[in-house]
Amino acid sequence: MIPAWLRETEEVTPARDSGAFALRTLKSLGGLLSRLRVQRGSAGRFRLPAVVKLLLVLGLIVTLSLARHPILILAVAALTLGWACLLPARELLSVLRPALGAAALALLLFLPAMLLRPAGVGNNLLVVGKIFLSVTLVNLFNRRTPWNQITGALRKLHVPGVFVFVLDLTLKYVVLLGGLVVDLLTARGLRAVGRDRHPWRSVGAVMGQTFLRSTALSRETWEAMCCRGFTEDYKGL
Amino acid sequence: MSMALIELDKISFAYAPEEPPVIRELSLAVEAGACLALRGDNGSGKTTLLRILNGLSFPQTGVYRFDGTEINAAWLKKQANAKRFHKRIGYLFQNPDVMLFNASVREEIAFGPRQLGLSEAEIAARVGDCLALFDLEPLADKAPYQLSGGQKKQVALAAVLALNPEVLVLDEPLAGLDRRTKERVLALLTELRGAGKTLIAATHDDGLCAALDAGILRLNAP
Repeated sequence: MIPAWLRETEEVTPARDSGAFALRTLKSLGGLLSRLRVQRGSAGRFRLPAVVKLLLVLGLIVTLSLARHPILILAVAALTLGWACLLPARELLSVLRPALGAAALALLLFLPAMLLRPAGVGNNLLVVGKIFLSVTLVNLFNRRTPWNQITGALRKLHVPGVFVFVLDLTLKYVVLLGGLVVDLLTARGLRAVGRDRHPWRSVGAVMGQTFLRSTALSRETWEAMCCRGFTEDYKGL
Repeated sequence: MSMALIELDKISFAYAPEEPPVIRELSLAVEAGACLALRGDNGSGKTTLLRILNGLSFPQTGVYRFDGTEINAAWLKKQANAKRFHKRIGYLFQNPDVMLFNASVREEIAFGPRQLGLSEAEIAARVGDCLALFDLEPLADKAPYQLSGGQKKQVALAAVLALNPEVLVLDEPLAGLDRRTKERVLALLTELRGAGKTLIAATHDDGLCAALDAGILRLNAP
């Protein structure tokens, strides 16, 4: 027999909830992590093997870090921008945005040094440029290469299997747990119809649940792998 | 002629522009107090439709109206609108795990009523009623995390009911329940329908459609 209050329709005037900043931040972070799931890493117009792309990116980043001559840096910049030009406009924006963010942050950090020692401004700007190019290269590689091909390439380069395995599982769990955080906060949001007097309690609860879920997931995955004959020798693509 | 509480006018939804729409030009009207079962194969868009009804996803074309108000991202962006809307429409997720985040079953059920600004006595009474509906009293102080799948589903449903929504949107409400619990939930849903609640459920269960005398909307996979 359902209680009387469940038979009635309630009118609610929601109170303004000002303490939801932490929850919104957590949700956007979770969304960011779960978006890795839709990283398709399409090969694009020019299908280079992942191992070649990986070596190329690593080589260019090392060259960038060691280079002091502007011509060499400009050459790397030209190569990077040439590669970036192959992307559709929307993808290009998502590649350049984090790179510009990283460069802006670096510029901010160098600002006091540049103000105190104007003679070193050129070198500081060079480092900022190198940071922009390095992040762009990593983003381009990430955009154009599916994750399983990246781990396959790492194995071909004789990176220890255990390292690749940990890397692979980490990404999978980041995606899974990011999705879980988003789902938990969405479900919470649907029931948060008034004023949450203790938003931080919800933040703690969601983080605690995520931790518990991650522990259970890792144990279950390990058990499932053992049941399928896993012998601690990881074999990727 | 009575106005439909929920009205979909030729809505289409695709997860990505390059993918075929999961829902294509769907029109639907659900009156207050009605019961509708969504049937269809896996991937036919049942959960997507439920998400749209709850304002979690928005159709790319077409219009969704709830009680005459068009529900879209801009309208729901206003906190007061979103809260009023979510108070009126309760959603039971397919996976109850994502709904349970509090330290105990009691706290979980009390979360909604507490936000409604009810007094502690009212909250305690409401929580007690919801626990009793599902015979969950022995589990009241347990962590939801420790419960079985079926128990989690019941706690999640109790937590939704504690808000006393006018519309209950249920994603596979009977999945994972044993026969006895299934019968209890079915009896409860029948009673809720009798009390004038609007029920919309995605289900593979023939028993639910028959017991609730639900109208059936069959969705086809794209």
